[in-house]
Amino acid sequence: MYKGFSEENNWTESLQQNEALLRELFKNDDTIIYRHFENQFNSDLKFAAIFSSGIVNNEIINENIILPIVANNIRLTDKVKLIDVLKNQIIISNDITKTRELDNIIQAILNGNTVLLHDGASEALIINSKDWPTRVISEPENEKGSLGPREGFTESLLINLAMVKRKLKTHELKFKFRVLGSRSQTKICICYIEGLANEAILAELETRLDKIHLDGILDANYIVEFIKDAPLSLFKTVGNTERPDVVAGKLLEGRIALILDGTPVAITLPYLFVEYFQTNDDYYNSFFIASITRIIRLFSFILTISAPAVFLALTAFHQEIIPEPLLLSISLSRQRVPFPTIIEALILGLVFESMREAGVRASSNIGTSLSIVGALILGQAAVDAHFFSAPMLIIVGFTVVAGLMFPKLSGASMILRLILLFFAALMGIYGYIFALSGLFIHLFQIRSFGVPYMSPLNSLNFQDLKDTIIRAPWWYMEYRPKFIGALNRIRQSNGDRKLEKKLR
Amino acid sequence: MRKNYAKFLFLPLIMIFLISGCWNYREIEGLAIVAGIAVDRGIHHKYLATMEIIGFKPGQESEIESKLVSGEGDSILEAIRNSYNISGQMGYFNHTRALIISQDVAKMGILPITDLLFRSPLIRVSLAILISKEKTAGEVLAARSLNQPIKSFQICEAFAVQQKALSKTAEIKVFEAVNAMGGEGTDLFLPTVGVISNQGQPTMELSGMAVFQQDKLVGLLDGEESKYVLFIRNKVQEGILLENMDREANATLISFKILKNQTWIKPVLAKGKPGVKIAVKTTVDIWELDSPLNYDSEQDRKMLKSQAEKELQANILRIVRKVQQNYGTDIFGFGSQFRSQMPELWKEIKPEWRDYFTQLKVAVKAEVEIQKSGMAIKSLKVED
Repeated sequence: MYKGFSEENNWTESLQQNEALLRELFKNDDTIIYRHFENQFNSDLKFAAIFSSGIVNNEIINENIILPIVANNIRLTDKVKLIDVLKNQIIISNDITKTRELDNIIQAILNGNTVLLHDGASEALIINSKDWPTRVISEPENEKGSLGPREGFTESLLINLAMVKRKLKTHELKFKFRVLGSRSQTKICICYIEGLANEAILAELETRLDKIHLDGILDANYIVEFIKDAPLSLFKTVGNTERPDVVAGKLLEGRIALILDGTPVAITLPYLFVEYFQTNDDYYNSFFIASITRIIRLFSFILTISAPAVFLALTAFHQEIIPEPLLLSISLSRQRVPFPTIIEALILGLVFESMREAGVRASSNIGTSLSIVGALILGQAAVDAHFFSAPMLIIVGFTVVAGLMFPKLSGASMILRLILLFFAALMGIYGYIFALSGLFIHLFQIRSFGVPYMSPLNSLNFQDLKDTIIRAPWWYMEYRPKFIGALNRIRQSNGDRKLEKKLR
Repeated sequence: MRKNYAKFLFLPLIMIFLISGCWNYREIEGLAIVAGIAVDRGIHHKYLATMEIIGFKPGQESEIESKLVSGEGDSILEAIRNSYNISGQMGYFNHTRALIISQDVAKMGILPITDLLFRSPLIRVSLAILISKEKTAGEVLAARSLNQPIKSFQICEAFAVQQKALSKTAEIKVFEAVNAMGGEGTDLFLPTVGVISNQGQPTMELSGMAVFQQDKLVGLLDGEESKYVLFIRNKVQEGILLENMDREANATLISFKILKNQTWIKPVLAKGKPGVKIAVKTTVDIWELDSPLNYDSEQDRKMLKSQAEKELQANILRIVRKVQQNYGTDIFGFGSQFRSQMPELWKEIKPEWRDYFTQLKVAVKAEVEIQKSGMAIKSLKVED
């Protein structure tokens, strides 16, 4: 509610007074246009169309609002009020509402609708005339796939919803709008499929959303940090994606999506650990290839967080388990290196991370010079100058490359790498295992909207593991995920295909 | 059922905690990695320990080199520690591969040395023990090695070649030596290493074995004799068997390549006296045949076979006699065969086993199967 003005406050039947009120509210905002016009047959009928230029469609205002009112001979009767005549007979619009609440009027103007006032009426008409420039639908840069749909979300909520709707043409697909952010008034939409999505999770989401009091929401992460479980965890307990096909896939598994206006990033929940390693490509590719790449991804995750720590533990604590040729070559390359191995690992990690960050921040034109600086100057010269040892350079370089395989996990894996390195530097393999156990305890204790984060990896039942480390063939995934799709577990028939039988 | 399965999955996790090793941070380049140790009699003290340390030549292209450092002391540990005064570095023994003992020290007994090796948590029990054929053990480490800058590593490589091509000596690891010394009815033998001149330079050479009574050295066997010891111990994998067809002329020499060999030892009781029957079955190929023999003819083949068997039998018997008469120590492990196959008799003869051993009747039956004659049937002819 805007301070100083309430619905009973100053809203009268006088056009002049009402306009003055709005002019007071939108003081110093020159984008608001106040257009006065009269009916050509009866100049006593005075009107004002108020809208915000730039976010309205001028054609609609000219052709469908002003032209009919000005050109039509409006016959007034006592029975019907002029405003209803306008609404029902004159103005040509698919979305028109009558209101006398100031809040609605202000929001309508700010949202690109046109507010029509006429002298002698205490009510105003809100006519849909929204139109603003939007980005073209394109493939998201950060979530590229080699196969499958290429479209990605844009910043416009309705276009995004349209993309999801086109994939799931069922009346059970529900879109619930709500507005968040006292100043940004951002529209968000809760999408779910009725009968699949867990009602308890939905209710929990709504209560969490109810508690948010922010003044502005510019991106999905503003909400994510409010609603996620384990708010201090490194891991995401709420997922995000820029792809409508991913959202549709998650909805079909019984998950819930939150789509926000103004950002191409949609939120999906509940979000489990295995989803870091499931990519949209997995489902579009042959299940053999998908399974192998998934195993590689999982393996790379373990490598990217533990390679420097294990290397440090072996070379600084457990030299006895390194085979002699390797021991000698590592020892040889470390001769005359001034830093202890741990400092070397930390500095190199910092160098590589800063190069990665520079690659993200810098304009794309200097990408080549960045790689030359990185590869030649920092790599070759540093080893030649005995500043760093080559094996450590290889290890750290490899961890960074392996970390690029899952961009959603890159921040977490960088911090985990540091933690494991720290423990390995304290106590060798023992410390490493200690920290790793802590990591596993953490992962197994957190939940996402009531669903254990590591499920279904905490199960020893093969049926639950069909879409985790491997991606089973589509005809073999007859059930939905256990916790999330519990309402309606049977997803599809196996199409007469069974693992036991020979394929026809 | 499923719960039990889960328990087993946790076992390796728990074990990781128990086997995770030392806790102290040591930079890898600061380690003085000891590759091998040579133990000699000292001049002022009881022992002189020479250690081969892996060093790094400074320079743009650094290289590995072998550095020797020695110290004296009244115990081996003291001798090793005293050498730190010279090198200024603590030795790192986890990667030590070879221990060479001089004959002088071996004659005094190697038990203190094996005790140290076995007791130390740092030294591997798979370390190879050798006896130096030269006057001191240190000079073996000082000799040149050909394909490895680190001589102790070269020794280990040479053992692998021995097993594949020569079978003239065999690697004995610390735990095997301890088992042989402490086991019932078996005595210790160790491989010997010497220095010979190669291209005019002293180079290490691996051949032959040293015979022990309890933990004391009593004699050396040369490479050829060692081979027949290994035949009896069933340790021959591949090697060469030479056969002189005509002993006087010494002209027709045949060399067989041993493909595989199996030896059975059977203890027997003949006329109240213990004896041993040795059966050897060897499969060979002809690799050199310097005689007019025709492999195609069955008669010649039979003759070749019987000659080879006779010679193998004679050679084995000769080495058994030599060890029985000269050393009286059961390096063949005959006693252990009595123990496992005739336990009742073994209990009886065990206290006087050494006497029994020297009197033991040994019968050898060798079977040589000539499998192939290579690419040729007859030997090449030279026309006048």
